[in-house]
Amino acid sequence: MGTASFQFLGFAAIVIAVFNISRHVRWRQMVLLIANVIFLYFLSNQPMLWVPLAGFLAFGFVSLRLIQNRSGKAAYLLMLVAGIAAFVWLKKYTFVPSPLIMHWRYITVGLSYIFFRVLHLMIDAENNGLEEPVSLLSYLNYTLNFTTFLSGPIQRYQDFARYQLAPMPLELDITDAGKAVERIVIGFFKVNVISLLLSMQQTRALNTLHSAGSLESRLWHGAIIIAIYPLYLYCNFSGYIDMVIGIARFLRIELPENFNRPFAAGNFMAFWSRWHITLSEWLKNYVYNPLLMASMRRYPSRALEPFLSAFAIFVTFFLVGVWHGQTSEFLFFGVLQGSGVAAVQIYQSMVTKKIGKKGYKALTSNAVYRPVCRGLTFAWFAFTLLWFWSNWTQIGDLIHTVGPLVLAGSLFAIFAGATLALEAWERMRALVMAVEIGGDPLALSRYTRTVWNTAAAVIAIAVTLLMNAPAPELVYKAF
Amino acid sequence: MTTEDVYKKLAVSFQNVFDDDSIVLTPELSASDVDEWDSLAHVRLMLTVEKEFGVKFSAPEIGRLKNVGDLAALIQGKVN
Repeated sequence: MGTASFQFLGFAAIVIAVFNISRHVRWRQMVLLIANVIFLYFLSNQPMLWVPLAGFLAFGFVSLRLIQNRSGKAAYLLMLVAGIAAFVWLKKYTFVPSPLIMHWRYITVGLSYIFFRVLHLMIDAENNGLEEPVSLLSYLNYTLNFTTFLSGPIQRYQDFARYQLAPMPLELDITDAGKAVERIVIGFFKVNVISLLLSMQQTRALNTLHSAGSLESRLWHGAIIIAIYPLYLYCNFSGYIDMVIGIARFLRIELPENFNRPFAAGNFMAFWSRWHITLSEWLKNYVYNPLLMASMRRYPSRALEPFLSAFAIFVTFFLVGVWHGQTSEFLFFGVLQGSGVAAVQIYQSMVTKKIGKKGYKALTSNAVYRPVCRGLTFAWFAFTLLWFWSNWTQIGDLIHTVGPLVLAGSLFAIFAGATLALEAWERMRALVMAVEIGGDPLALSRYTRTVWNTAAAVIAIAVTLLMNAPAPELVYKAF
Repeated sequence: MTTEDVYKKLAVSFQNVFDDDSIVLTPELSASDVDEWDSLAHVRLMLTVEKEFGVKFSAPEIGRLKNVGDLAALIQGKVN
């Protein structure tokens, strides 16, 4: 059930059928709540394992209620800090002293996303961002919504409530239903076919790494191992998001988009505005903006601003890494994300200062500069992901087996290959989109989409049945 | 303060932040319409507006803004 499987789709289909029996708000709320509880039961049918998560949720709700009843600034800050500390404690971050950790087995699946939702509720409640008191039912449905429980996206409560608590549910005509089915099919195809094949390819390269003798073979192995993972992660993560966006639409909820062609980004800062968008947005609103505003108030100097912004960016993206996991690998992953985005910020302001805003704009649309930056962005992201999917021992083994210089060559090959491949992809896409019928791109017409979706569904079903293997694990389920 | 007054004052803030006299403020104008309107410029704009109107914005308020219309409405809600 915790994967993009037929079982999950079957479960969703039953929930959708029952949910749409009545339009009444209470009915919709109750069906969603029961569906959420059943979903958790399928993830683990041992209630004791859920106790810590339930405790965190209870803490969140009590805090929210106290804040909404105007408990005072000091109490609010105390509850905010306690919430963050509880998260760190439950997730067993490596810096938490061992005697403080609960050593018995319990489940933290979904906790990271619940954490963002609870914090968002608390902060907004303090700042008059919530118009109505949040009821327990709405709180539970918002935090445990089975469509977003495992991998997000992180929806704002106000948007969730707008759909869930509306007297009349969001309209769902035949076109909306068709588009929702399309998202589910595409998502299922991405996870169960593309990401599966990419994962198999990377595993094969890893398994044969030690037998790679020649320089070319080692270079190839290094490049394949590092370059495939971002593509795999994208298909795995965005595919599941596509599926839940489609399913939620049938539950009369419009979930926010989480991806916008991230590999088309011209720099690492733009990349993060296209990748895991709801996480970036959350951090921008609740970390970057307040941090930068506070530092700019303290040091009001136009010359310092780019550096203050780079610092705020570094902190923000460092937290992205830390949020992903509890080990030093994720800490380092965060440092690399933060450094990458901060470097872009400083570079941009330096170049703009030198050649002016118009000059910089012209540079970014240059036919050579743009693809090179795109390739560099991809290569950097692929490189940083080494600390995301492997550990220090595996990285050491990779460097030792392939050789440091050859590995550097592999990275250069990834950069060059990504530059050419992504540019070719963008040009091909532009060409395809230029073929129009009735003023709209032929590729986006409902006939073309029907053909493509039917083919994707048939291939996905065939591959799933032929492989006779469980659906690929969702990478973000672990966070 | 009328909506017109808010837009007049806002226009000055925008011109100062973006160093561009050609920006015409409409309620629909958003960050995607102005090249230089990135996350740093957004914060700079918020601080300038705070100073100009003598108001203070919270993180959730800034996060909710989608366009100039939202910003003008937020300011009006605070100053009136």
